[in-house]
Amino acid sequence: MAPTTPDIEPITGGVQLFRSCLVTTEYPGVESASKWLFDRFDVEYIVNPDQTCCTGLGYYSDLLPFPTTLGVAARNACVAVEAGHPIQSYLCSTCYAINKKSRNVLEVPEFRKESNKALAKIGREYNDEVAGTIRHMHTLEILWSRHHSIPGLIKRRLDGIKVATHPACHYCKVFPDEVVGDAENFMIPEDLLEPTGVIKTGNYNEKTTHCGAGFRQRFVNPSISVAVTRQKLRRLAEEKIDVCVHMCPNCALQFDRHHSIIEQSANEEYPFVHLHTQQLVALALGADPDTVCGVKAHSQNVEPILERIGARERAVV
Amino acid sequence: MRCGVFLCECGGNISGVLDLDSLADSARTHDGVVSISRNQFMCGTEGRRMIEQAVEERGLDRIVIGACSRRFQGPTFERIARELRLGENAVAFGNLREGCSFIHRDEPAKAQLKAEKIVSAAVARARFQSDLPRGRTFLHRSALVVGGGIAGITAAEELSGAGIDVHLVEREQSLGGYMARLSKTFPTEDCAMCSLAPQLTGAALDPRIHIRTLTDVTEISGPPGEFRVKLRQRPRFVSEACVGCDDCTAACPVSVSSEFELGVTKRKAISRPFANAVPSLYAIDKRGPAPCKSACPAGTSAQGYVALVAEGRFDEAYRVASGPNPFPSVCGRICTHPCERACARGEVDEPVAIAALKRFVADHVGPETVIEKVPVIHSEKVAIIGAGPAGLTCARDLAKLGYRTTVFEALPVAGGMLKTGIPDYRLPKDVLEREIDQITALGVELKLGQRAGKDFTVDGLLENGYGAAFLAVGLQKSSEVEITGAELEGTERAVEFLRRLNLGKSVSVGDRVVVIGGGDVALDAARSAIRLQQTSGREPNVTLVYRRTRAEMPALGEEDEQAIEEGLKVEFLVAPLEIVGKKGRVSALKLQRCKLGEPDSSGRRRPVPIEGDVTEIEADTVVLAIGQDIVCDFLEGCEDVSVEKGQIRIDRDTLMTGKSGVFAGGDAAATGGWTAIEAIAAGTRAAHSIHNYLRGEKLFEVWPAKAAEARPSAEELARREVGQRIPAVLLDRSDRCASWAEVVGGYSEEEAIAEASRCLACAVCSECEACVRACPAGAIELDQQEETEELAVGAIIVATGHKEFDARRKIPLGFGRFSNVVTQSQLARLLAPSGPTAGELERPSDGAVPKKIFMLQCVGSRDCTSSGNEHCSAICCLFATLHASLIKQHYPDVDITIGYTDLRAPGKSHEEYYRLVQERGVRYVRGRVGEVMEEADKSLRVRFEDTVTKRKNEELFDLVVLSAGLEASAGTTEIAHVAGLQQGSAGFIKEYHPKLKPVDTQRAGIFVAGTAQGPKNIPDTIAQAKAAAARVVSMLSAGFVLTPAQVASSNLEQCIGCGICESVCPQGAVKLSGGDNPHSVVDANSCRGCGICAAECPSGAMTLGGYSDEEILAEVMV
Amino acid sequence: MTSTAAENTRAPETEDGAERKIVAFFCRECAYAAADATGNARVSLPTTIRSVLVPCTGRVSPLHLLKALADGADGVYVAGCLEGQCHYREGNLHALDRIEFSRALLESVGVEPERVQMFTMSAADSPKFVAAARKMHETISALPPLKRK
Repeated sequence: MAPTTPDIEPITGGVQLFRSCLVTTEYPGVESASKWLFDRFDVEYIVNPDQTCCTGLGYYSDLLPFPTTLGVAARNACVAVEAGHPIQSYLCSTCYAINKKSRNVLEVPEFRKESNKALAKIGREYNDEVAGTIRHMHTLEILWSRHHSIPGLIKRRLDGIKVATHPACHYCKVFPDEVVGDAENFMIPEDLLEPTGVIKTGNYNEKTTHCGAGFRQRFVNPSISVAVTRQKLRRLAEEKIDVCVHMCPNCALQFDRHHSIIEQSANEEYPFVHLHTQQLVALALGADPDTVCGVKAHSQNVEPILERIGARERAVV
Repeated sequence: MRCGVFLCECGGNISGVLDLDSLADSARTHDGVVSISRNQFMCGTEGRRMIEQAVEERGLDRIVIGACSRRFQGPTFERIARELRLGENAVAFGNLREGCSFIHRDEPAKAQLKAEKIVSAAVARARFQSDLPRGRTFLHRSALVVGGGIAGITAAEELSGAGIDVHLVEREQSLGGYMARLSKTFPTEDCAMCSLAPQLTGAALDPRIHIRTLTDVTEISGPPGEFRVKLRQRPRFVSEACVGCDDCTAACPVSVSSEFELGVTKRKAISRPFANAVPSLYAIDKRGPAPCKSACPAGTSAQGYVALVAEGRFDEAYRVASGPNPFPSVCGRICTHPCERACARGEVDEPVAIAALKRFVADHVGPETVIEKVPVIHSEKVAIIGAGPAGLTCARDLAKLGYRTTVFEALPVAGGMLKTGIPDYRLPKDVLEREIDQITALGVELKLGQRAGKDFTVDGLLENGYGAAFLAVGLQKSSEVEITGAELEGTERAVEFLRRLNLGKSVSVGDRVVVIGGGDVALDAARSAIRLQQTSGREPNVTLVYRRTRAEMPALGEEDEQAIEEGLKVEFLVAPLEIVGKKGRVSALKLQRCKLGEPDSSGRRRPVPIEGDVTEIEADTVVLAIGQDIVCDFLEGCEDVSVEKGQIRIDRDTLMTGKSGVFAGGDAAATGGWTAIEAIAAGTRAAHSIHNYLRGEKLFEVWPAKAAEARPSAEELARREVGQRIPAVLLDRSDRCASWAEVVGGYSEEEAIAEASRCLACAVCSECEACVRACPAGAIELDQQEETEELAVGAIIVATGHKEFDARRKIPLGFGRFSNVVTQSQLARLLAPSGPTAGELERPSDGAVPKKIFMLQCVGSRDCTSSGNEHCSAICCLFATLHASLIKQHYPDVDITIGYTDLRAPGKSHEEYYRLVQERGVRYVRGRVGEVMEEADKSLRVRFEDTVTKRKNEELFDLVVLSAGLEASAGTTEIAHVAGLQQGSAGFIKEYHPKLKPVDTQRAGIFVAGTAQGPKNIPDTIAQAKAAAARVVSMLSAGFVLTPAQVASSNLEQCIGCGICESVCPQGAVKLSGGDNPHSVVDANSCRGCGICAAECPSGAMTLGGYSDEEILAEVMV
Repeated sequence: MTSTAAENTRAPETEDGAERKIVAFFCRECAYAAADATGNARVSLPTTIRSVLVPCTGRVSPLHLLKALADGADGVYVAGCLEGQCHYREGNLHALDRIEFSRALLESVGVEPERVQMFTMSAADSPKFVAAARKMHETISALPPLKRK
């Protein structure tokens, strides 16, 4: 299967790695693997201590009003531009969507004025210059922009490992026209992994069905939430995959933490594991499973797959 | 200037805000104004009379109108001026309504001041307005209709009826377009073909309609009325002699998906889309040489014999395989098969095993083939020196051309390297002998044991009755290698070693053999050594040493795998330093270890010694297999022939040496690689050259450049199911090493057919020529070429139609992945009595009648995602309703659900039809489908929301039909580019005005009809086609047209000939002419008056009528 | 006649003292149609704007833009079809090039480049037309009257 994702202009610098609350607290390996890959791909980036949370969890749980989210987004854009790293690279698709949505809303003069009133108190302004400079990209887009360097960097082949993409809804469905590739058959994770010898799944039944997390739904309507997760797990199991690759910590969290629980309660087997795309790409490029990819933070046992690809045998980098 | 100012009250619209009396007073002060009038409605009859009167009484030559927008009533006043013979540019406009009174009602004082400026500007402008000349163009009474669907045919008929000659051009092989594919049409449910067929026949018989199929329009130039049109007609490969008997399709072995049947079934490479097709001739879909044919040095139609094998027609396959190659059986075994490297199947999984299939065919059929001896028809004799593949091929080809040939061979056996270089376990001797026997059976004389330069000389032959000679002496000795110890006993040279072995001489090897080299000869020597050891009861102990790695090894991959299986040891990255001897015998080989460095000129990475890393292998036999050299005995008595760098010097086009009449080829004078197939190709070329030489014809024939090969697109390849090739059976290791039996087994019939069926038919027509043999009328003409033609026509109608939206783009709907998801058009074929199922509804996966059908509307239409189109495709609601109705009537028990967005049934009798079909029991559900999923039994799970009951449904269906929308066809996009027409959303041609000029395009003289303009049903298409025809008739009936007034013109005095105007003109209306002293010339008929050229002109020579710099600036500066 | 025109080039002084003159070139296919639609909808617009009809914005040359400024206008703008929808393929892009050229020229002699602008719109987009006109009016009103030597 040849890659279906179109090439995009290579990003080499000016990147601010936008830290995510879920990544930091639940799967810190995703952040470290992303940084590790940026280094391998010669992407110049910073982590900005002035950046703050995107407010996604609070906003989607109806705890924060939208103007708050908007003001925070405007501030985050300002600090990135001030730091000379205007390409916000999101590890989480919610951060991506909420900031991108805010960018559009901030084009409405009334909302921009309102946000700027708040920003004025901290001596900042979201003006045309900031709006014209800031760019919002998912980390996978930045990695895809440099994907031609992957074949030369492979240290561990993943021959015979079958992977399927779980497309994140806040990446694919909020701005379907701005997705790199096909919003209904998102392929960057598999296309990134293709040179390593993985077997790609491509499209499968209910590919676009979501993970079930739904922010507060996970807490408020757990039975519906988990039923959707189970449905998706069954579909993935039908494809006989080894790894489901993710692009959003919300999905990864929902699947990874619930996988075994659902298996037990439903008396079914889903013989595969969940990894972030960055983690698996980094493993193929020789990264350490613990210090770089942070696999110990996973609830599932990923050791068998690590052994299968030889990640436990020797340090290669 | 004598100017009259006419101010309009516009029934209070203007006068309610502006004080027109005061405005008149201000206007009066301008120079040149000699008359002022005002009226309630200046555009009315009273206003017109005022203008007429003023012109007559006051002698006006300019008119200033202060009224509404020029875009609104401008044409009315311009017409009045024209009719009063004031010329084309006598009116200036001041926009007092939309530009002043309407938008400044709140500020009347300021509005008044602005109105004064507006009138003042118009007066200022009027002063610079001069009359614009208009020319006449006389019109050709002929028209071009592009597209042979129902729109094109209808328009052509109408035009013919008006006595206009029509050139009807169609890119497909027959007329009929989309309508020919339909089963029935809504709302009357009458048969589509029944109404179309008489139209088709009518067009074919009409003497005024000139039909050209397989034809593209490549250029349209010139002005309306006298367009010059260039056409390119692709070859049909079938002549008018075709009687439509269909014998050819039975003979053709190649089946591909049928475009006419929308992929529902297959067609042959030679085909006719439907029985009533016009023209009724068949056509061959020939897309160039297949990659395999293109890659074969001898040009064998590999796709051709593979296709015939797949059909079990082995005799015919043999005929194709042996056509250019007298050694199919040999090549099936030992050819380097570049065809397989080129095979497109290799991009899907593994290449088709072309060589193995060739071997199968030759082994199966070869022996029984009766050789037809060709009589000698030429007096000249030809001498061939060397009975290898090059010499024997040349001899055979010359014999077939009617020459007497004699082959002189130095050895006591024929076959050259095939005989003396290749061991039996790869090529059994009887296989080779059989094919040589077939060559001698043609009358080729073999003289063995005759060494050129010793037993005879080439010059001697030419003096004694031979008209020409071909030197195919090969490379008969091993290259000399400078290595210490090469003289020791136990050192062998591979070519000589193998020759002794293959001639049956006694050969022995020691217990420890080392072979130096990485080519085929090295492997042959190594594997032979293993057999020599084993047949004498010893354990195999043979090591191959090679300077680079396996990746760089020139030998075939499968062969070194077999050798390793047989016990061969291989040392990579070692270079021989010295053969170490003890008492005059070999005892070891000293080796330098290497690593890979930079690539060399051959692109392979050069081995670089690792300083100080030297190793040694014990050995008692060392075989040197590091290249071959020419033996120059033949040069004796062969004047003017020279050898340079180990090769006979030849002219690469004719293969002639320095001596007239003496040619050379094969390994001794290679034009490609040193392989058997290259030698065979050289033999064929030499035969052609010798024939040309002897006949005195075009000796310096340049071989035609290879045509671009036909290859499936990456997208097509991606859709192919991944499989694998059928492996050849290998002799068991223990059996094969102890004997010289052939290692690789051949295919069985079943295996051969299965393997051949993997062919992707890249070129569609495989050039097997089965149709040529089958055609009773002799109508097949495989050498037809593309033709171009130029026509002059007065007007053009674009009727290039639509294509169905590619439903694959809506990935979750499963089209292209699930066999039981079809499109509405495919369903039309399944329901058509003339279709592949003869009108029986069968679901594709198993042919059963579906019990439950879901029809899914708005696929790719009314869709704002990037994979769909925003527009409504207009016909799908009723198309689905029609099919549901047809199915309900034939299979009342079938349950049909139509999932729609909105049900749209405007148009005569359409709503009534929708209600009727609802009453027939078809379920309509408002709601779009999220996803279609396939179950294990190929039934389909459809998830949809009923937005009326607000319920989410998930149901199983046997068949899902997608109502895929309409998009502009590829032909529409192409003609838009060629004709410079604008395309709107989804590529449909933009009409000049959506309401008032619905069949005119942006380009005068070119009209549009049918679905090329936008989605529509058949009656609307026909109405529009007739409208377009009427436009052409009214245009051409005038006899001449006036060129437009507002066009660019160039002042020759000022023009500097820079050509900027030509480069910016969007219509191509401005051209440089005048050779060395160029100046720009405007074609007034093509110019549409944008003025880009005037603004760009650096010298001020170019101007635009009605918008000169003076006119514009006069207005600006007020 | 030209002398009469020249006499009239001084911007009229109204009560608020600063009525400016803005020359606007509208393409016949889109902007002028949008202007007509605006008029028909009786939308109020600043009186400063003086429209000039051209067949295509591609007809407008730097000469027209600069001459307008030299002879009394405080601002000048061109309104044409949306990018990719020019009725003459690329006339609007040519216009844009010339506007950029003119702006650079003005900047080099110390004149504010924002006195020359380009807008694009569809024939049906009256709101965009109005926004362009108002924006231009605001921009020019915020600038001092153009000083000429």
